[in-house]
This record gives sequence, structure tokens and C-alpha cells, in this order.
Amino acid sequence: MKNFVFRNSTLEPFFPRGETEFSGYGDVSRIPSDAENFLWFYTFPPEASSAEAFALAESFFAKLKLALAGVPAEARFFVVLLNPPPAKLRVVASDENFEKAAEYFNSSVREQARARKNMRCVTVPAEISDDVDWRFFFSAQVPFSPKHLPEIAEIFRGFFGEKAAENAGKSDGVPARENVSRQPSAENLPVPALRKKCLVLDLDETLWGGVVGEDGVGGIEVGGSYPGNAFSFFQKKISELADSGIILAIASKNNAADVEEVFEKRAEMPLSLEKFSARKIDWRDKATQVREIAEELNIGLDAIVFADNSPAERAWINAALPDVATPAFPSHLFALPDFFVRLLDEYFRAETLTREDLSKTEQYRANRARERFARECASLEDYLAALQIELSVSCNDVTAFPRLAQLSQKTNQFNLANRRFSLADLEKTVSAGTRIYALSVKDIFGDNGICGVAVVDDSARGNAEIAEFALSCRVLGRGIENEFLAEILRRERSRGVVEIYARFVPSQKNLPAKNFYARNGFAEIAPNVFSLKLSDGVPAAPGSLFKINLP
Amino acid sequence: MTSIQESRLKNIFSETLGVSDGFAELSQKNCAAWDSVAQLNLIIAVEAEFDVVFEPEEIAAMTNFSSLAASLSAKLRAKNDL
Repeated sequence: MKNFVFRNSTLEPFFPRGETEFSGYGDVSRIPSDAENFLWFYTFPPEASSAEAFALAESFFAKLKLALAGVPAEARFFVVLLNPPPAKLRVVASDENFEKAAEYFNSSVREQARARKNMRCVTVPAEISDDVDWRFFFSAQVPFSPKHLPEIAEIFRGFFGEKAAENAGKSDGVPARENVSRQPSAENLPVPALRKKCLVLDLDETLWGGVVGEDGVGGIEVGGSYPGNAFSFFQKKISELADSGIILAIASKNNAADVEEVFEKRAEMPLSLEKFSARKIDWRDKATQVREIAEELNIGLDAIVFADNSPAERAWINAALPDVATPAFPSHLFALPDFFVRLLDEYFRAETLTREDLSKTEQYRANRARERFARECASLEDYLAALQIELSVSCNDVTAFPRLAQLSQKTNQFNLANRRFSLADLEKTVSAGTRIYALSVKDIFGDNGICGVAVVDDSARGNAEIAEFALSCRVLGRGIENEFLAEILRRERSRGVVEIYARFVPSQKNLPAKNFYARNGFAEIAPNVFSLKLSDGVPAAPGSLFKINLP
Repeated sequence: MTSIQESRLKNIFSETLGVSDGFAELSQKNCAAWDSVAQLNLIIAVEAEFDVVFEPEEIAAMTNFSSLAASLSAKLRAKNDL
């Protein structure tokens, strides 16, 4: 292998295939020893809030230092300097948290580069990093528009290609391109003359996909893959809006109990019910609901913005309460970030924050845990411990089934048996006695929701068989798969299972999973068929650094 | 889709996946090189070549050559109608 890229987003399209390998997303635990060139290319996730900027930059730098410590001294190491996320997503125009956080990272990197031979800094122009194509962002985590592919390829050809040797020979340690890009757009952000006070939100198809009354708590789409991740993005940004002093309210035609269940059970949602200062969840018309919200909060109707995907509801509000603003909802969900930008531009962006705006105590509390990351992470063990990864495993929880079916359909790399289960398949097998395990993963940077699925069947004489085991590539590379398996084995053992079988079904894409069962203590009793006797207990998972949280 | 457009499309597939024939049956299932990254590269190349924009739902459904060609055809027709 020639080049290795440490990354936290999908960068494969920007590099020629074949000569470059990529780390897991946000992972620094695997460092190949045979690469000639290493590249560090992290970007701020655009959904990150301004309050998270420093903790993110600090965590990037802590990881970078781990990577540097593990990379052979003679290898070339290039670091892409951080740019702030697109300025148009900024809730407060004068807020420079991301600039300062990026500058902290960049100056720390430069300091390292001065001390280390063969280390260089690289700049990606803000015109590129500001230009996100939300379609590719939501469907594949691509951090900026593929239309910049030629420019990016050009930047890295200069480092990885023929010119690499020449660059490495330079004595000043800083290539000519290196020059932190300013954000030209930040200064011209529109700020509405009169900031609105309250955002009233519909729920079904506005804050999540689907209709809770019909699709159920597990069936609504939020988090996971598109379009669920577009709704999570929108919720995350709305949550930031609330932290900047905008009051949130709900106007929804639903059963209140259903909605409460959603907020309780879909804990991966960025918004919690407590963020909403007024809640009208009943079957009355929305004009009545909005009028009551205004009275309850003691604000004028002209201070309210009403966001609802239904044109009929917006027209109704428009006719009944013409003072309430009713911006058109995007017809494509990947345009939710643009819709949020429109909400900021026209109604909600603040120039600066006054003390009254800052109801940030809660936010600070949540951040304290992340700031611990700022302390030195001297080793990989420290790093994994500092992440405070929490796994939870549930069994036969039907609310998880839609996401599990999605995972089973979509996961290719770490999919042991390559069986594809639809929602109907899962429902059918569970009623026949099969155990369907769901794995959720959380760390200090947030809740990843359900990332793993396993299906275990009974076989003859007190034995069981793992019919499927799959883990999303987003969480691979931290030993999480081993812990998930160990937890399943413990539970199967306590059900009285004496021996458990498993099968690896090779596909064109799942080679990374080939040695998984052998690594976890299984014996290969026939080609790609594995077995483990549980009578002597469950072997400890390799690298037990996680706290297992059992519901 | 005209035959010229079709051969431009096949060129993209050849370059991205390294295949030279059997396009009609070509799918993510029977082609080792067609992984999720290749999928992304295919879409990016097709969008740039034909100046069209696919939606995420369409991209997810384009798992074989025929469905991709059909989607592209529909886009090109819609463009011409404008």
C-alpha cells in the first residue's frame, strides 16, 4: 500500500482507486506500517453546534497525536488543516467559535510539523469546504461536493504523486499552498432586522420521517441512513437554535401518548421533549393550537414561525393567522439544511447573543464530559477510555426492527452470513422463537443509534446457530464487534445453550470479517463453519475497554 | 437514449468498474468491483458527463446497469422537454 488516509468522512471519490487505503470513520486504532505516505484529513461535521467546536478540534488533535505516534518515523505525514463548517449554517453571525477552534487545531499541528521531519500542512480552500452537496452528504457522508473532485485531486497529486519527493525535500517545512483560508461568506451573513421569538413545529414528516400513528415508534425515520439522517441533522440544528434563545413549540395532530413514546424510546433523536416550551398535541385544528401557544408563551403571533411539511396546514394558518410566518417546506428532504439556512436568514439569525439569550447551562453541562477529552490521551487505551463508548444490547425489541432490517439490507463489509432480512422476515422469525439482537452505540460525541444486528436460531439438542451477524462500518475498528458477540454468547449461555455454531459466508465484499469468529475463540470445524462450546463459559472479548450497559 | 449516449454511459462503467462487456446483465450483485464507493463514483461521473442530478432515492435504487440507464434516460427526456 502506498497511501493511507485518516479520515472522519467519505473521501474515497477524491482519491484514485487502488493505491490509497482509508481508516475507519474517526478511527486511529489501525495504523498500517507499510504505507509510504500518510494523510490526515478530518472535517468538522456540518451538523455540529458552535458549542461543540472546541471539544471536536481537541479530540481531532488528540487523535492526530496518537496517529503520529504510531506512524513510522520515515513515512511522510500530511495534515489537512481544519476549515470551519459552512458559515451559512451559523445561528449567531458574530460567533467565531469554529474559527477559533480551527485555529487552535491548525497552530497545534504547525507546532508538531516544526518538530517532526517529513510532516507537512495542506490547505483546502474554503470555497471547496463550504460547498456541500447535501445529496451526497446524506447518502454517503461525502463532506463536500464531488464537483470539486478535480481540484482536490490536484492538491493531493502534488503530495502523493511525483512531486511528493520534491516537497519533502523542502527545508521550510511549509508548502507554498499552506495559508489558512478565511471564510469570506461569514461577514455577509444575513441577519433579520427583527428576530422572531418562537418556532412552532409539526412532527410527522417534519421532525421525523413517517407518521407515528401509522408506522409506530420504531417505524418513523430518524437517524441511520437517508432520509433519517436528514431529519437528525434538522433536529440537531433546531436544538442549537433553541440554545440561542429561540423558543420551540409543537403543534401536531397526534395522540399525545404516541409522541411521548417517540421521545422516550427514540433516544438517538437530538431533540428531547423538554426542549419544547409549549406542546399542543391533539386533534384540534392547527390555528387553534398556534393561538394557544402564543397565549401560553405570552408572545405576539407576529413573533411566530410555523414549520410544517403540509401545504394545506400552512395555508390554513396563513388564512386564519396571517401574522404567523409560514415558510414553504422543502420537497426533497436532502434540502432540509437549506431550509434551516432560510429559517436563519429570514427569521432567526442573531447578530450577537445577549446574556438573556444564553440559556446555555444545560449545554455546558453536556459539554463538560467532552472537554475531558481535551486532556492528554497518551495511548490508544486512554483514547478509547476517554471516548466512553457505551454499548447497549436489546433482544427482540420490535421497535428496533425497521432499523435492523435496514442494516441487514445495507451492510456489506462486516456482514458474516450475508443473509438479507426484511422487516417481515424479522417479524416472522421472532415469532418462531429466534432471538434478534440489536446493538446501540453511544460515546461522548453522541448517540449513533442502532449499529449492529444479530440473529440467533435454535438448532438441535440445546445448541444454537448465529444465522446472521452484521455491524455498520461507521462503528467498526474499535473492538465493538467483539463485545457485541461476547454479550450475545453470555445471553445464549444463560438460556441454556451448550454449543453455538456460526457460519462465514464469503461474498465479494465481506473479507474484512473473515477471521472474526476464529479471533473470538471459535474453532473452525469445517471450512467457514465455526463452533464454540459455552459450557466452560464465554471467552473474554479481545480488548475489553468498554462499559457494557444492559437495559 | 441515443446510441452515442449509451456508449458514453458504457465508457463510464468501463473506467469505473473495469468491465468491457456484458453490460445488460451487469449489477452490484455479480460485479466485485461495484461496491459502495464505486457506486458513488459512478453516480458522480454520470452526473458530470450528462449534466443531470439524481435524488438519493434514485441513487439507492440504481443497483444494476439497466436501472441506471433507465433512470438516466428518464432524466435526459425530462431535460429535453423543458
